Amino acid sequence: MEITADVKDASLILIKQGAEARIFESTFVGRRSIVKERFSKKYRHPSLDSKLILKGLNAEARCMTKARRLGVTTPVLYTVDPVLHTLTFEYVEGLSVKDIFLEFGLHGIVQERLDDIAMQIGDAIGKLHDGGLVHGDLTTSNMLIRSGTNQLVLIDFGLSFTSTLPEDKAVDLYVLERALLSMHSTCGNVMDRILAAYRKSSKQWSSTLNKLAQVRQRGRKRTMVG
Amino acid sequence: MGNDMVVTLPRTTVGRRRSSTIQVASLHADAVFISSTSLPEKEAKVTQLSRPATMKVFEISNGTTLSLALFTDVTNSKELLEFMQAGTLEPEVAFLNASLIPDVFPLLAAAHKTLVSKSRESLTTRTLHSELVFNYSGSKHITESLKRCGISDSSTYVLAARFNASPDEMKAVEKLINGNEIDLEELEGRADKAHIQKHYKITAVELGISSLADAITCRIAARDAL
Repeated sequence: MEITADVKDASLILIKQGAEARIFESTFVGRRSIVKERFSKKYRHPSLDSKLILKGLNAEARCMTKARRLGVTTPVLYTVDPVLHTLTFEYVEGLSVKDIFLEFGLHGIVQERLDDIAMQIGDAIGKLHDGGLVHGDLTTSNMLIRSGTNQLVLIDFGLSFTSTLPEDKAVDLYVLERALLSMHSTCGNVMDRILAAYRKSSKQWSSTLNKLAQVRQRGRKRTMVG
Repeated sequence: MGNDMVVTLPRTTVGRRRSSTIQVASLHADAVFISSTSLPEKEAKVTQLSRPATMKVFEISNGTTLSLALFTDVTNSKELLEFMQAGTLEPEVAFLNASLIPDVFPLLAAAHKTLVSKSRESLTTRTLHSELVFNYSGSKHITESLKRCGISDSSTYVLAARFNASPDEMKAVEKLINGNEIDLEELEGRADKAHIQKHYKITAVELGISSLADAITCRIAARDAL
């Protein structure tokens, strides 16, 4: 018996390129999938570079699966390749919350849909935070709504980390608030609805929201004075 | 109840296998009469077995395939285990504890992982097929993995898997196992959900947003990232 598995899968179609990674569409044992490849940065020392890439890769895989354990939908992780620096996961069919909200801005808001999405966002973040997981990049483009079920799916755990500090959770929410303000001001006050759902979902909402008030005053970065 | 079985079994043993010899079929019938456990379950099976059961072939990557055949009422697992441990199993094949497998997809994901390791000459276990069992377990403990996800002396419900098997080789595998070959569709209904949840540490919270198979897939994929 001969096994000559060439690991590079046949078809990879580039669909996005970011600062940290490239996103491809592919298939994984018969299922449509997304391949996220973290590439090396030429300005970093090679040995440091590969260490940092692997660290990021593993952290992302861990956080994605941890989120699922906390009851927050993320794409199903199919495989992690530490040699090619790739993560392969489920292709989620559906629009991003960003696209849906922009559509609301253009053609009028469907209030019921908006409320449902805001509720799901707040509920999901509450679950993550209570489990000690901070997403780190909560923007509306990192949230998908699965077509058919209208279920919220959180993606891109590339900046995620575990923390129980109210500060980290508050900054997480603050980043989302800023993103909503800048992108979707026409949708009315979505953040209030999200925070209302967050309050119901998170047992530790009080300390986080108190902190959020402080973070709003000073911005995302902590002042290093004193 | 006993009378029912005498009447119905000969019909099913004939319809069960398309190509195997009568000798094997009658051997199986003997085995069923000897073991008298859980009669209602056996009755249920009689109706399911009226359609022909087949082994299936799945493509994993670039032409490498995995052939699967599922068996109940296996009577010679002790013998199979001895062959395997002596390394004299011909052809080489992986025997998995099928009650831990609710769907083929997680197994295919484990197979993909196995082929990637093989192509890099970085198998953790001694053979390609033991690596498949090890990878399916989602654990880093080799002995425990083979014990839990492989077969034991008393296993009666077994999934046989072989990479790049020729039709003749799969026929040889079917001859090797003294049991009742059934359709892979039955995996889901026959899976031991409680056992799976315990083995993979899957909580009810996670099952609220995920299927059992997807939860297992994530654990198989993320094992080396943990």
